[in-house]
Amino acid sequence: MSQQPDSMSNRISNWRLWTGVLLAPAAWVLMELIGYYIAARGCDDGGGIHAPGPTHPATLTVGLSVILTGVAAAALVIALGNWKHSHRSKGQPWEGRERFMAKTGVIGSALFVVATLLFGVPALVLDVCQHVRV
Amino acid sequence: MKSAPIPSSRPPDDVSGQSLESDEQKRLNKLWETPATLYGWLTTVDHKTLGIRYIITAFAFFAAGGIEALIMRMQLVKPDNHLVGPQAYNELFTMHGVTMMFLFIQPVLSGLSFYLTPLMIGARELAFPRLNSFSYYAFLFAGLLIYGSFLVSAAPNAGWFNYTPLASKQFNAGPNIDFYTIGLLFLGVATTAGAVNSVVSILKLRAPGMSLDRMPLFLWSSLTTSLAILMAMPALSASLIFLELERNWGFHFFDPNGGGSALLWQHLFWVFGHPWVYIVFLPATGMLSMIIPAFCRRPMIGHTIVALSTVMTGLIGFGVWVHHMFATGLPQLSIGFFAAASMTVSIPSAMTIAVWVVTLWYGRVVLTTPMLFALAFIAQFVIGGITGVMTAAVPFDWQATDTYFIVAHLHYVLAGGTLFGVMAALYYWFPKMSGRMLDEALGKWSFWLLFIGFNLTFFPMHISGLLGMPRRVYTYGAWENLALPNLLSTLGTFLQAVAILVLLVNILRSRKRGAVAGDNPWRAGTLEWMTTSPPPEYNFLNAPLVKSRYPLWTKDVESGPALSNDRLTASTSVLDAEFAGPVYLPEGSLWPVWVAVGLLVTCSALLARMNIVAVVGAVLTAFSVARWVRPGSAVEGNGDIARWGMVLLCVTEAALFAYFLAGYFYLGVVNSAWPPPGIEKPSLTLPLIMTLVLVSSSATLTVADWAIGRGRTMLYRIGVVSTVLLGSGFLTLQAIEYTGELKHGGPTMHAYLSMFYTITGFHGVHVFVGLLLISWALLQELRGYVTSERPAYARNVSVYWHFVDAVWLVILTVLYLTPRLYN
Repeated sequence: MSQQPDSMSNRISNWRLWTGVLLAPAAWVLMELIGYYIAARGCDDGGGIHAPGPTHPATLTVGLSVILTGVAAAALVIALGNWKHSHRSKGQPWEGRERFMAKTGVIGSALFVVATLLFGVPALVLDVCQHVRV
Repeated sequence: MKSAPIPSSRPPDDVSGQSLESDEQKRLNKLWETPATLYGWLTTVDHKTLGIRYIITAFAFFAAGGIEALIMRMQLVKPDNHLVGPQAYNELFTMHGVTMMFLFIQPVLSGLSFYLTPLMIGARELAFPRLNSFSYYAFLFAGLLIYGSFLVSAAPNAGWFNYTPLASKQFNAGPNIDFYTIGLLFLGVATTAGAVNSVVSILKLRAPGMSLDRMPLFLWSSLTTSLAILMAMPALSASLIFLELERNWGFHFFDPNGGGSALLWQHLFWVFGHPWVYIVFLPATGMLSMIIPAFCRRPMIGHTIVALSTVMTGLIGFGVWVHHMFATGLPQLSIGFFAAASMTVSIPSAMTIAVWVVTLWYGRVVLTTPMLFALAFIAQFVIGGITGVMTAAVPFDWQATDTYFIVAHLHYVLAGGTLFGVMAALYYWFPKMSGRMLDEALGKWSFWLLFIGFNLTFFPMHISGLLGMPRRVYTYGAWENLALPNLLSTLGTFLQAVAILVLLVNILRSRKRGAVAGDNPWRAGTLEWMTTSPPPEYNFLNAPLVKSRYPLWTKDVESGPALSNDRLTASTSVLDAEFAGPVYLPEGSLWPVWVAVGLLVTCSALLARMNIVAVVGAVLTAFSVARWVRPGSAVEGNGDIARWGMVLLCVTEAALFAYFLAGYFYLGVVNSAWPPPGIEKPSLTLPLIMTLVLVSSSATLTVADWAIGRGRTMLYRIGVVSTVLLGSGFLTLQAIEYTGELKHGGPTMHAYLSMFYTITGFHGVHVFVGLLLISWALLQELRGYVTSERPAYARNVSVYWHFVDAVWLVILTVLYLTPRLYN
C-alpha cells in the first residue's frame, strides 16, 4: 500500500510560485494603505488648497500607483514564466499543484495590475482634497 | 428529471469499510463512540453532532429573527400604522440584523462547515475537537445573553452597525448597547475559535494526496472565510472594547469633545463589516460549487478560477469598507479609491458566476430541489451584485444610501444569495446527515414559496427606496405613495414564513419516514459521499488516498493508513498533502463547557456591574482552560497541529493590536496636535528599560526551549524562572510608569491618553496571560508531562511569549518613538 498517491515533481521553486501568487496582491494592499494615508494626511488641513507639486496628494498618489502597478506587472511576468514552465510538467490527468499555483498567479496578478492602476485614476480626474458632504 | 450518466460511485469496501464487520471496525466504534448518557451528550466532540447542533441552534435564532421581521412588516403594511412604537421598532430592526448577521447566517454556515469539512478531507475529526465543543457552547451562550436583553426590556437599539454617537452613553444611557458590545465580544471568541479550528483542519488534516489543486471548492471558501474571520473579527472587537470603555469607564474614542471621532467607529466597524458580508456569503458560493457539478453530472469547468475568485473576493473585501461611508464627508481622493476597489471586487464574483453558467451550459442539468435553490441563488445574486455595482458608483450611492434600495440590495445578496445557498445545502446534504431523503414534492413547494415570497418582499423595496423611503424609520405617511410596495413586501414576508414552515414539516417527516438515502444518493464525486449515511463516528475506516478532484467519479481512491489503534487521523503537508504522521484527537471533556460557562458568568456579571462575580468567572475560565489543555491528556503527539493553532491565535491577536494602533493613528490625523497641547509626550527612559527586560525574557525562554529539547531540565527550569521574573519585572515597571511617570492625566482626560492606556494596558494583560501560560508549562514539566520527547507544549507557549514581546516593540515604536518624529 502506497501512502503517497503519486509523486509531485516540482520544477519551479516555491518562492517563485509564491511570488507569482502573492506579489501583485501585496502591491494592491500597499497601494490602498499608503494611498488612504496620503489622502487622509495630505488633505487634513482644509482641503483643496495645496499648490501643485511633488508633495501634492494627487502627485504622490499617481506616482505611487505607477510604481506599484509596475510591481504588480512584474509579478504578472513571473507568474507567466511559472505558467510556461509548469506547462512542460503536464502529463497528469489533473493539472497538479504547481500548475494550479502558476495559473492562479497569472489570473490574480492580471486583476491586481488593473486594480492597482485604477487607484491612480481618481487623482487624475478629481479635485482630490475636496470634502464632499451630502 | 433527466437520468444521470455518471456511473454509481460506490467506493471499494476496504476504504469506506462500512459494509464490513471487521474487528478493526468494532475497535474504532469503541474508540470513537459518544456515551449515551447526559455526560456524553454534554461533552461530545463529534463534529457531526456538534455541526448539527450548530445548524439547529442557528435556525432557532433564525426563527426569532424571522418573527422580528414579521412584526416589522406588519408595522409597515400600511401608512401611519402604530402596531409598534418607534422605540420598539428600533429594537426590532436592530435585533433582526444582529440575529441574522451574527446568530444565524455565520453560525449555520459554520455548522455545515464543521459537519462537512472532516468528511470532505477524509479525516476523522476536526483538528481541535474540544475547541469545537467550546465554540458551540460559547455561540449558544452568547446568543442567549444577547437575547436576554429582552427580559430586561433593553434590547440593542442602534442598528446592527451600532453607530456612534447614537450608541454613546449620552444618547443611549440604558444597558441596551452593553448587551450588544459584551454579547458580541463573547460571540467573537466563539467565532474566532471556530475559524482557527477550520483553518488548521483544512491545511493539516487533508487526506494524503489531496493537494491544494485537488481540494474541493467548498473547502476553498471555508479556508478563505476562516482566514478572513481571523483578520476581520479583531476590528469588531477593537471597536467594541473602545465603545465599552467609553460608555462605562469614561474613556474617549468617539466623542469629539474629548479628542475622539464618531467616524472612528464607522471605520473600525466596516473594516470588519464588509469582509463579514463576504464571510457569510462565500461559504454559500462554495456549497453551490459542490452542488452544481453534482447535478450537471460533470466536473466544474474552471475549478482553478473559482478557487482563485474565492480567495480574491476575500482579500479585496478588506479594501472596500469606505463605500459604506461615501456620504460622511471624506476627501474625494479617499472616496475615489474605495469606489475603484468596490468595482474591482465585482470582478472575481462575476468570474465565479461565469464558471457556474458555463458548467451548467455544458452539463446535463438535473432539476432536483437543491438545484432549484442553486439556480435561484445565481439569479438573485446577480441582481444583488448589479445593485452593488450601482452603489459603488458614488453619485448613485449618495442618492440611495440609507434608503430601502440598500435594504433590497443587501437582502438580494445575503438572503437571495446566502439563504438560498443554505437551503440548497440542507436539501443536498440532509441525506448524508440523516440517512433519509427529504421529500422532493414538499421541497419544491418550499422552494417556490420561498422564491416567490423572497422576490415579492424585496424587489418592491428597490422601488420604495428610489421613491425615497428611508431605512430604520418606523412608519411613513399616506402622502408618500409607498403603501403599495410596502403591502407587497409584507405579503411576501408571510409567504417566506410559510416556506420555512414547509421545510420544517419536511425535515420532521422525512427524518423518520423519508426514503432511505444510501451512501451517495446524488452520485456526487467528493469524499463525503464515500461513507455511509449517516457516517459512523470515526468517518473513515482508513484514511483515503486521493488522486483527483472527484475521487468517486474517477474511482481511483485507495486505502491509506489504517490508524485504528487509537483516536487517530492522518496529518499531511500543507501544499501537497503528503502523509506526515498520525494525530491524536482527544475524546469529550467537560472542561470546554466550563470555559464557556466561565465566560458567560464573566460577561453577565460585567453587564450587571458585579465586578467581583466577573473576576470569579474569569478565574473559572482560566482554571478550566488549564485543565482542558493539560498535556498528556489531550495534546500528546500533536505539537505541530497545536503550533499551527497557536500561530493563528497570534495572527488574530496581532490584528487586534493593529486595529488599536490604526485607531491611534486615525485620531492622530483627526486631532491637529498629537499628543494634544497640555499633555506631554511619554518619557523614554523607563520604556527603554522595560524593552530591555522584555527582550531579555525572550532570550531566556529561547534558552529554555533549547534545553527542554535536549533533556537539560535544570537549565530549562532556570530559563523559565528567569523569564517569569523578567516578565513580572516588566509588569512592575509598567505599574510604576502608570502611577509615577504619567502624572499629566489619566485615560479619561483625552482620547490620546485613552488610546495610550488602552493599548499598553491590553499589552500588559497579554504579558500577564503569557506569564500564566509559561508558569503552567513549568508546572507540567515538574509533573513529568513535558519532557525532551514531548517538548511541544512548552515550545508552543513560547511562541505566544515571543509574539507578546514583538508586539511590545511595535508599541514602543508607535507610542513612544513616533511622537518625537513629527512633533
